Amino acid sequence: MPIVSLDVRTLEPCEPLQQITAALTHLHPGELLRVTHRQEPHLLYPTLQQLGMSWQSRRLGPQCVEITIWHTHSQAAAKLASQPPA
Amino acid sequence: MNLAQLSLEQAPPLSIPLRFLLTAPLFLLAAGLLLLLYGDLILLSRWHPATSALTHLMTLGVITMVMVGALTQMFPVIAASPLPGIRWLGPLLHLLLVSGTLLLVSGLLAPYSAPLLQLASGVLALAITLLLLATTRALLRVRRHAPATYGIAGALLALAITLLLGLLLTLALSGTWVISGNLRYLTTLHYGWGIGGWIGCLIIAVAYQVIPMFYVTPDFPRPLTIFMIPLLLLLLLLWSLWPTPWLLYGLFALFTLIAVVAWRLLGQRRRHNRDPSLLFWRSALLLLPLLLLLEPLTDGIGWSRGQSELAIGVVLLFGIVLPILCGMLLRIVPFLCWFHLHHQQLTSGRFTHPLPSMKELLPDRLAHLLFGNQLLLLTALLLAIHHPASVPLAGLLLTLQGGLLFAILAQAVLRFRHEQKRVAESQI
Repeated sequence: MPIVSLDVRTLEPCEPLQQITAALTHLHPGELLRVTHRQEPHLLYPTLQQLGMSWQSRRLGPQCVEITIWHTHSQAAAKLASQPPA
Repeated sequence: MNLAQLSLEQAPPLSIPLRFLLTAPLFLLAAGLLLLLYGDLILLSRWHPATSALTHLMTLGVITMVMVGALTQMFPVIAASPLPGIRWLGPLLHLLLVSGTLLLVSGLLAPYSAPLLQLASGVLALAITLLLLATTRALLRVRRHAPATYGIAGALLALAITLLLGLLLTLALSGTWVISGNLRYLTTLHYGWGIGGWIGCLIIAVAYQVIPMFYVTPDFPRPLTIFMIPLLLLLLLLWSLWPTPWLLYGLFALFTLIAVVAWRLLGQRRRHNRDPSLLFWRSALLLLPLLLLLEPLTDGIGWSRGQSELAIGVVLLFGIVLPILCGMLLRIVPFLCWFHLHHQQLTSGRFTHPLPSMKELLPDRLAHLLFGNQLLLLTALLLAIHHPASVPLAGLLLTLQGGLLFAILAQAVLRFRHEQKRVAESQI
């Protein structure tokens, strides 16, 4: 399962961060975590950096941002993240 | 990697916003004590120096203090653009704002002590200029502007105008400079730009962000977020040049429109849970349109023009702005505490210690208690305008509100410190 999807748009703070954290702890190298969020979680990014994770985000519409997260050292995940989503 | 990434060095440590957010209730408490000491004079006329001292304890010590604290945290969250040099700027701004407010209040109570007022002007001018420079620099670095950042820019413009008008007034009141114009007109402009421009625009800008984020509602309609702040500032400018009641009614109509939209959005929450912070928002949004009816209502029951003006000021500051600030603080402080615990745990990679929820950090029963006292406070203040015998009660309730708010926030921070130690111990 190389792509794990997580939609946190209907959750109140601090539940989105809780769920993303839980998903990150189970994320294996080579896998992508694709989060659908209502806004860009700027506060999460420094933490991701410290955890050795990379990410990219794109706005899909109003109140809809997609953040893709992977282990920085995993080349397979980085390659997968660079591919356009189906 | 996202280009808008932050580094941990840029993000403010928790102590930066907290020092502002925890100082504000202490100024609220001080406002209560001032009301107890000078109550009869304060509720006599809006032009009395003691009334002005109370107003500045509220607008600078409470409202601006919370707003600056919120801004230090909001810039990194909404715009990925922290205030530059926040680690040294934050404590300096805090020191200047606290000392400047205390000097100004002392100068007004003296009354109109020239050295105190001149010193207060210098300290507050430095504080606000530093804030304006830092926020302007942060705004210029924003890559993708949100409606809230445009709103903040408008509010900062209003703050600059309020500061200039305030400096002119302190120069005139301290006898340093003789103003040929009407001092009351200048005072009214100062209040108009301070409350309608700086506080009003900033609350709207923060609401654009906080209401959808904390209550999971749809966003404010985009056209509204585009025209609202520029239109408010334009009306304020026109009213400054031609102070007719119709322009004032126009301003009220715009604020009412925002209140109606915010009320509707809160009704469209994806989760209809009972959150006590909503009571503060709802009560403030409900009172805003009623503000227009206050003058005819007080006229109808035989209140003088001076009493009507005081009633409008009381409802504006204590019935609308203060509850909105309380509603924000009840959500922002536990969220920041939780977030920093979460960050500590996440970076350690150990999850053996369960973190307290936001509700455990700030229990609902305490927030309900605060709301109950808020309702009593507003009623007592309005009563005190017409029945001076109620002034001590209003003073006591205001002191209690400041003390309660401080105790509630402080217990959340103490719980955070306790949990922080436990998380650290679980990592050994």
